Order: sequence, then C-alpha cells, then structure tokens
Amino acid sequence: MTKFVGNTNTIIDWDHVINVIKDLSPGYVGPRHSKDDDIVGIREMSMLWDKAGFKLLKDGGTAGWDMFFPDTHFDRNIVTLFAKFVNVEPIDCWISRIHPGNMTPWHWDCNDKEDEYSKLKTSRFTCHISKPQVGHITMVEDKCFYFQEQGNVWEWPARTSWHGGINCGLEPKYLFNFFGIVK
Amino acid sequence: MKYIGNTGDLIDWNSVISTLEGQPPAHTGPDNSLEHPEGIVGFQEIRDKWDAAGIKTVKEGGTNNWEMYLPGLNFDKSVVDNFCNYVNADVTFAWISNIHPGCMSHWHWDTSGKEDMYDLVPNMVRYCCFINRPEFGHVFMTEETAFSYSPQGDVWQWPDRKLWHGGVNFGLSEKYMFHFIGPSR
Repeated sequence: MTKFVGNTNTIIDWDHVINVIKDLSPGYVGPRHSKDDDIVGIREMSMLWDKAGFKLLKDGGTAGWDMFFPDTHFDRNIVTLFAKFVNVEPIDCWISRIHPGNMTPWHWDCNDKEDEYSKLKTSRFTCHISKPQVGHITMVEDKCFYFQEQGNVWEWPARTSWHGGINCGLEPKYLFNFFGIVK
Repeated sequence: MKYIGNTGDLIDWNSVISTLEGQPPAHTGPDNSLEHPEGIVGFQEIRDKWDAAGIKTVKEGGTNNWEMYLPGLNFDKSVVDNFCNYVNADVTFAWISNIHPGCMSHWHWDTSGKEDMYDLVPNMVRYCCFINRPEFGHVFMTEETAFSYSPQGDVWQWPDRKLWHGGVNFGLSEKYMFHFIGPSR
C-alpha cells in the first residue's frame, strides 16, 4: 500500500530545482532499455506495451520521459536532505519529466542491478515537485495521484511496484524519484 | 462532482461495449472540430491552450484523440432511455467516448456547434458514467479530481455542462465512457 510520508516544501525549494534543470538536456530519454537487453522483466513489459500499441518517442511516438540526475543536473544536497527526511540511505534517485501529451506506460523500474538490489531491504519514494496542475497523473499500483501539493512524499508498496505517469496538462510534469536502504 | 449511483444492474455495459468493438466511430475528436472550427463556441480558446503546450493530434503524430459513438447509430437507444429514467432527465445529447491506449482527450470543455441551443435548455444537467471494468491507466479528470478504478456503472453528475476536463489512457485496453446532457425532469 502507498503511504503518505509528509511534505518537503519547507526543506527543499523545488521551484528552484525545477528552474535549474528545465533548460538542461536530460541524461537520457527513457526507456533506456529495450526488449533485447538482458534485463529482468524487460521482455514482459515490452510485450505488454507492444500489444497495447504504445510507440516510443524515439520511434516517433509519445511513450517517453526525460531523466535528470544529481551532480550532473541538480545539487547532490537535495538528495542528502531528502534521504534525511525519509530516513533512508540513498541508492539511486532521479527527476523524471513528462512533457504534455507524453506518458510513461505501465511498468516497473527494470534495471541492470536487479540481482544486487533484490537482496537489499529497500524503500521507494516519489515526491511531487511540480505545483499542482491539471492533467498531471501518476499511478502506483491501485493508487492515483492528482493535484498533489508540491513537495508531497509518498512511499511505495515496493521498489518494484508497477506504475505509470501521463501528462494531459499544459505544463511539463516533474517528479522526484528515490530509493534506498532502510536504516 | 456529485455521485449519483451505480447502473451496473440496470444496463449491461459489457454488452454495450461489445457492440462497439470493431465499429467505426461516428465522430473522431478533435479532428472533426479542427476540420470545421467555425461556429464552435469556445473551441479557439481550447485550441490556443493546446498549441501553446505543443499538443498534437494523433494525425499529427501526437496523442490527442478520442472516438465518439452515438445512440441509434452505434448502440441501442434503449441504453439512453434506461439512463434517462435512472437520472430522471430527458436526453439532449448522449454519446460513448473511447480513448485508445496511448491517447488522451486533452484539457477541454465540450464545445459544440449547438451552444446557442443548449444554452436555452432549462435545467440542463450533465452526467458521465464509467462503463469499463476498473483498469489501470484509465483516468478521467476535472480541475481538482481524478477518477481512476471507478466501479463499472458508476454515475456522476457534473456541476456544470461546461466543466473543463480531460481523459487519459495509458493502460493496456480501450477506455469507454458514457456521457449525457439534457434537461432534468
């Protein structure tokens, strides 16, 4: 079950963070992996997307999102403050951005370190860092997040929870994503 | 938005959906409006917002697309009659929308070429009904409320026929929804 953790607006200036990254080139445009990669779960996900008719941004479609990372795109101090807030030792974090009209279809965060991560006791969080806006939707398992207060933090049922996001609004949709080891 | 109740026992929505599958829609939004925008009150404002945000239709390589099915043409009129009795209103216009996976009906209100006529109808009410079984990625939203995993058959009354709204489908199956406007009895 998703769990509301609290609001980070008093400890992190998310408008400033967005302002810093908004004109930068993203680290990459997701999804990074394809069905031909030797990654746990990627083939199943690709089959679902193909069957439903999703087309990736790189293929001229609209399934795709920008990825921004600490140090490269935003200050590492943000991660430190967030980790302290949720009391978790960080493993990985990023800011995702979905442009109006684009989406991240239903997926879980397949990665190339699953063997390592699956041995750890981890927690996964998202933080809604845009101001509440029409058309910005995030779904995690059976929970739909909409018009969330800026800075709101939610803990996921699991690091591997299925989720997705979409932007049928008029402004880019930013989300801070974080997982780490439970202290 | 005001919850009215559930029509699951009154209308076999699965059967209605079955009759639509494979049929060409009567209209495709917003393509039909874009082809003939003249006389559609309010459409230019919507279009300006879409253009400013870079929204494109499916034809243009984007995601803005929905289909409209009409009673009498695409599905049985008795569905509307039953619905009328349920909400105690007469029908002015009713339709079923469908949004394909990967598509959305971008932020808009239901402009039409009949605003002058609609504005004269007294006690006009607007309802929507979630006719799919609850599915991931099917979301309908108004300004501050998102409807997801709504039980099949759930009916909601809108505060205003001209309410801004949008719908998205980033799930894996078609997203159908029944819409109704008309004067309350």
